[in-house]
Amino acid sequence: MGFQLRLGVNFNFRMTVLAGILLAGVAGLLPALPADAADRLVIYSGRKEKAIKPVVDAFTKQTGVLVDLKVGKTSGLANEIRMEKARPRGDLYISTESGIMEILSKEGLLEPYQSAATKAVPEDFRSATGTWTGISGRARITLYNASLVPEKAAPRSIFELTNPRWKGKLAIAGTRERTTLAWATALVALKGETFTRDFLKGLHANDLKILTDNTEVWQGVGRGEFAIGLTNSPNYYLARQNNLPVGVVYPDQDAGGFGTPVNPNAVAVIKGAANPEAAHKFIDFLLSAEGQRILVTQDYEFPLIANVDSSEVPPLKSIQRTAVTAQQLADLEEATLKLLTSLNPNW
Amino acid sequence: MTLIELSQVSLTYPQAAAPALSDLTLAVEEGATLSILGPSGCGKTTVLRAIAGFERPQTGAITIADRPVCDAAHWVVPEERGVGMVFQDYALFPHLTVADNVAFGLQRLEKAAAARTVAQTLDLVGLSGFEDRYPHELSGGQQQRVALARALAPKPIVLLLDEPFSNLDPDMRGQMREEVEEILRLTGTTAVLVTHDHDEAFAMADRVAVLNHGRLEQVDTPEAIYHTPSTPFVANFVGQADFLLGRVDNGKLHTEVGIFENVGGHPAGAAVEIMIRPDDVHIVPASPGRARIVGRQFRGSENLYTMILPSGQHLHSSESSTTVYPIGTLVDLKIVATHIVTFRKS
Amino acid sequence: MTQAGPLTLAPATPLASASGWLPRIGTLALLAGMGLLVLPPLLYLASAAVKAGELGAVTIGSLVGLAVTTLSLATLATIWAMLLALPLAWLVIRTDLPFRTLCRWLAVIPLAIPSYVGAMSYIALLGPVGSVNTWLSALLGTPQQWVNIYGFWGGVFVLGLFTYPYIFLLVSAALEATNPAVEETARSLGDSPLGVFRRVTLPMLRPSMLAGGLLAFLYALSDFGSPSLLRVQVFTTAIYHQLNTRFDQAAAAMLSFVLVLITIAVLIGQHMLLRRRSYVTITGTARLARPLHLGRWRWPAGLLAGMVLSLSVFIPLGVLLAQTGSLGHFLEVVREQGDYIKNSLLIAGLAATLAAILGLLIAFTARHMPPRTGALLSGTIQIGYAIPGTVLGLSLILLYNTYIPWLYGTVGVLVVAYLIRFLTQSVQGVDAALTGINPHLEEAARSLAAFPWRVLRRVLAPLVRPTLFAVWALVFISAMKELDATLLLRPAGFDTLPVRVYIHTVEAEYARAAVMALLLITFTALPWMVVTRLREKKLV
Repeated sequence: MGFQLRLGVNFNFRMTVLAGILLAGVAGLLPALPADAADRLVIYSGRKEKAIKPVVDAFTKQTGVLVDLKVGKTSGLANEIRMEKARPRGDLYISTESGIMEILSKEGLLEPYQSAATKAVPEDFRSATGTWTGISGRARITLYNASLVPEKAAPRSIFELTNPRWKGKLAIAGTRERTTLAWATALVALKGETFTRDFLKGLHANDLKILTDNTEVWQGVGRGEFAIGLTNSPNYYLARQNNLPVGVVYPDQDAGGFGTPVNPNAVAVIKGAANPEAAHKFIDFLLSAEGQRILVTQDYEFPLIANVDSSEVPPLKSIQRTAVTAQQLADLEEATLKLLTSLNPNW
Repeated sequence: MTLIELSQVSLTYPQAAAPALSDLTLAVEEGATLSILGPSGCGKTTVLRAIAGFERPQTGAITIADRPVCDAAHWVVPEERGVGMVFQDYALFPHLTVADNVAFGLQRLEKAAAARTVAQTLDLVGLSGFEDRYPHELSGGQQQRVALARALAPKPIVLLLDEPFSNLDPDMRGQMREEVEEILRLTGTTAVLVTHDHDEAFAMADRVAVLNHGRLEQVDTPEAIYHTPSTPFVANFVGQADFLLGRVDNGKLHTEVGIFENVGGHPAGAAVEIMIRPDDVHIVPASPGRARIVGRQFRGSENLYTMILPSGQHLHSSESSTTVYPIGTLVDLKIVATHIVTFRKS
Repeated sequence: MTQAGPLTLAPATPLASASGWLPRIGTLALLAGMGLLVLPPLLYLASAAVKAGELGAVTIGSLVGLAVTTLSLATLATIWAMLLALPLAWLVIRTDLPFRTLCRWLAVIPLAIPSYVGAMSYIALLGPVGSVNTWLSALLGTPQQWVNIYGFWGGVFVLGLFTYPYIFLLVSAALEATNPAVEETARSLGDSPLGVFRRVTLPMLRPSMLAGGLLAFLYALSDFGSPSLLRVQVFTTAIYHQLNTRFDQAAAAMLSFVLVLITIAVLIGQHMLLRRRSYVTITGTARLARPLHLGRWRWPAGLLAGMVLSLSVFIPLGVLLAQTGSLGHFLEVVREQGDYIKNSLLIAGLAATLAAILGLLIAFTARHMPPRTGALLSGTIQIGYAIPGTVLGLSLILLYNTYIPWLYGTVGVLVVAYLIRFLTQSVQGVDAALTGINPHLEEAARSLAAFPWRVLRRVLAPLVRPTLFAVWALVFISAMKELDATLLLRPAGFDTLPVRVYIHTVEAEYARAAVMALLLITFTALPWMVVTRLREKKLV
C-alpha cells in the first residue's frame, strides 16, 4: 500500500506543486538572465564543430568571452536566421560559401561590419556593402585514389569525367553540403544552364554516386570504393592524415579554362544581434594572425589575407580560380538546386 | 418533521435492461431511523446513493430538510448536501490517523474547535485514546466505529449506512448493532440504514421499507411488516412463511388444513392465498395423521419441522427445542392463527 | 517503458454534470490546454502541407520510394526483433536454462540504450572507419572496406536489436500468466515440445506478440537517430534533409504530413486489432508451468541466449567502454562537456516534474468526465507520443515561430516538446494507480464536503505518491534519451547528451561519442532498473 512507503519526508502536495512551478520559472528565466546574455556570443556555424571549435576556444581564452556554438548545415542555419527574423537569437553566422551570404544580405538579414582586418580581405571575398567577410577558402578539388589511378592518368579537368572510363568510379556529396551547390551554380553561371544540364546528365550516365557528406567522399576514395571524388581541398589533407593513399588535382587550370572554384568560408553579423560588440571582436580574431594560423594549420584552409603563411596548403595565388562572383551565386543557387533535384532526387 | 423526501424517483443505470428504481416514494422523519430492506440487486444501495448524490435519477424529486437537492430544476452535488455516509467497507483513509480521519469533514472549523469535536466524537464511539492509530492497526469493529465517528463529526443532516454490519463477524454484529443504535439515539441523528438482513432491520429501525426490483413493496413499522405484510414477497422476505391455497365458500376460507375467517373480505368463489408462519402451526403426532414430517432443523432456540401434506404442499412448524419428532412421523396439524394474512391470488 | 497502447481511463462518478461552475471551467481549461499543446503543431503542419502547391523536390515517385523504404525497414526490423525476442522469452520462462533470471533481467537493458547509441556503437565497430575495418586493414596490409554497417540492412539490424525488448517483455509476461495445463495436456498426448510450442503456445501468445510487434514497428517507423547515422533514406531523415537544404519548408511539411498519416493508420490498426483480443493479465495466482528440462539442448540454448544478449548488451557496451579508453579520458571529456551534462539533467528533471504534476491533474479530471470526452482527451495526449520526434520538432518550429516567437528558440519550447511527447506516460501511470484506489474513498471524502481539489490533494495524491515518483522517473528517462526533436529545437549552446552523441558520431569522433553515450546510459539505465524492480515488488 502506497502510504506505507514512508520515505522519511512528509509528502506535502502543495509544496511539491509550488516547487515544480518555481523550478519551471527558474529554468525558463535562465536564458533571459541579463548578466548571462550580455556575456555570451551566439554563433551559428555551418562549418563543422571539429573545424571551428579550436578557433572558438582560442577566442574565449584570449578575450574571456563565452561562446554558445550551434553547429549545423549552412542552408539549415540560414533557414533558422530567416525564421528568427522577428527575434534574432544568433549573433554571428558562419557559412561555407558566399552565395548564401549574398542571399541573406539582399533580404536585409545581415548587419554590416567593416574594420581594418576585414578590409585586408581581397574584394572578391567580401561583400561590397560590408555585410559579410570571407575568413578562409576551400577549393573544389578532384581527389583520386593513388592505388587505383596513377598520377599521370588523373583527370585534369572535371569535364573529362563524363568519359566512360570513369563509369561507376565517381562520387560527390549532395546538396546538404552547400559547397556542392556552389560548385554546380558556378557551372551554370559561367557555362550556362543547358551545358551544365548536359554535363550533369553525363556524370549520371557514368553512375555518379551522390553521398551524404564530404566525409563519406574522402573516406570512400581513401579506401578504394571510388576512384575519383569531387570534394573540398581540406579533405585531401584529412585523408593523408589518416594514411590513405590519395592524390589531388586542382582541376581546369589551363589558360582560359573553367578554373578551380574557391569557396570562402564567410562570416557575418546577424541583424538585430544581442551582442554585436563580441561579434565584431570575434570577426577580428578570425582574421588575426592567431585565428588564421589555426584555420590554416589545423583545418588546411587557404588564407585569403595576403601575408599569412599558408604552410602545407598551396598559396591562393598559385591557383587559377573560377571567375564567379558571390552575386552570381546568390542569383542562381535556387534555380540550380531545382535543376539538380530534377535530374536526381538524391542531390 | 419530514427530513428526507423522495417522490416518484426512477433511475435506470446506463446500458441496463431494467430500471434500478421505479417510481419510488419514501419519507424519513427527523430523528427516526429508516431501514431499507431487500434482497441483493433490489436497488436499496441505489436509493442511498441517490440521496447522497452519487447517482442521478432520471425522474422524480428528492428533498433534504425542505431543500430540493434533485429534480428537474435542481441538482446539488454530494459535497454540498450535508449527508454523512458509512460505507460497507468503511472506506477509511489509510494514510491518515484516526484523528485525521474523523477531522476530515471539519475543515470549516478552526483547529481548536475541530480538535474538541474529534475528541468528543471519539469518546461517543468509545475510541478515546485511539487518535494516533492508523486504520490498518485496528480491528473490524474499531474501524467501523471510526467510520461512524467520521461521518457523525460534522453533524450531518442525515446519516446513511450501507450494510454497515455485514463485514463484521456474526458475534460482533449484535453488539455493534446495539452500540450504534444507542449512539444514534443519543445524538438524535436521523438515519437511513440499508440491509438485506431483516433481523437487523427490525432491531434498529423505527420504520422499514421493503424494496423488490426497484419497487417499494411496503413501508411500515417492523411489527406491521412482520405481522401484516402487504404482499407475498414481503411476507417471505421477513420470515419463514408458507402459503396455503384456499377458496371462499359460504363466507369462510376453506383450505386443506382447515377453515378460516374470510379476513380481507374476498368475494365468493375467489382463490386466495393464506400466509401462515411456523410459530402458528402446532403438530401433534397422530396415527393416521394427515401430514408427514419430512425434515427437521435444529436451531438452538427451536426445532423447525418441514411437513408434507397429502396435496404435496409443504408446511413448516416451529416447535420447542426439546421435543424431537423423528422424520417420517405422521402428525396432525393444529393451526392457531392469532391473525391471518390473506392475499388474493391473481 | 509505457506502451502507446489503448488508454482506458476508468470513469468514476461524473463530476461534469455538477452544477458548480468551477469544475466545468476547469475541465474546459484543461481540454484547451492539452489542445494547445498537441493540436496546433499538427494543424499547422497540415495547413502548410496543403498550402504547398508546388512540392519542390518531393515528387510522387520519391514519395512512394520513401514510403516503401520506411515501411519495409520497419517491417523487417520488427520481424528481426520477433526472432530475437520469442526464443529468448520461451527459454527464460519455460525452460530450466541456467542463469535464466539473469538473462531475463539483462534482456530489458536495451530499452535503456537509445537506438542511436546502439547505431553509434556498431558504426564504431563495423563502420567504414570502424575498429574491424581498421584492424583487418592493418592485418592484411590493404586499406579496404571489409564490412560496412551503413545502409538499409544495417538499419534493420540495429533497429530490431534495440526494440526486441518491447516484444520480450509482453511475451514473457504472457507466458508467465497462461495456464500451463493446456500445454501439459498436449505433451501428455504425445506431442513433442516443439509441436506443443507451435500448436498450443504460439496461438496463446498471439495478442502479446501483436502488441509488442506494433510497439517495435511504430518505433522503427518514427525513429530518426539510427537511420540518420546509418545513412538509410526514410521519411524522418528526408524531412531533416529538406530542412537543411531548402529554403521553404513546404517539402518538409508535406513529408511530415504523409508520415503522420501513415502513423495514424498504424495506430488505428493497432487499436482495432487489440481491442478485439483480450489482454492476458498477470494474476498472482497463476500456476507456473514445470520448467522444461533442456538436457543436452542447454548448450545450443545457452548459445542462442548468449548471442542475443551479446548483440544487444555486451557488444555495444563493450564498444563504448573500449572507445572511451581510460578513466582519465572519460573524466577529461566529462570536464570538457560538463555544461551539456547539466543541460540534459536540468531539462529532463524539469520536464519530468511538470509531467508528473500535469499527469496527476489530467488523470484525475479525466476520470470525472463523460466517457467520450475522456476518450478524446486521452486520444489527444496519446497522439503526442506517437508523433515522430522530427515531425513534432518541425511542427513546433513552424507554429511557435509564427505565433509565439518569444517562446521559440528558448529552452521553453524544448520543455513543451517533451511534454507533448511524454505526458501520456505520466497520465497512463497515474490513471492506472487511481483505478486501483477504492472508489468509496473518494465518495467518502465528497460526503465530507471535500471539493475536487481537496479530494485530490488530501486523499488521492498521497495514495498514489509512489506512482508519482515512478512516472517522474519514466518521463525523466524518456526526456534524457530524446534526440529527434531536440536536434531541431535546441537553442544555441544548449546541446543535450543525445545531441552530443549524434554530433560526435557524425564527425567520426567515436571516443567522445562513447563517453557521452556511457553517461547517457548511466542516467537512463539506473532509474529504469530501480523503477522496474519496484514495479515487480508492486511498490509502485
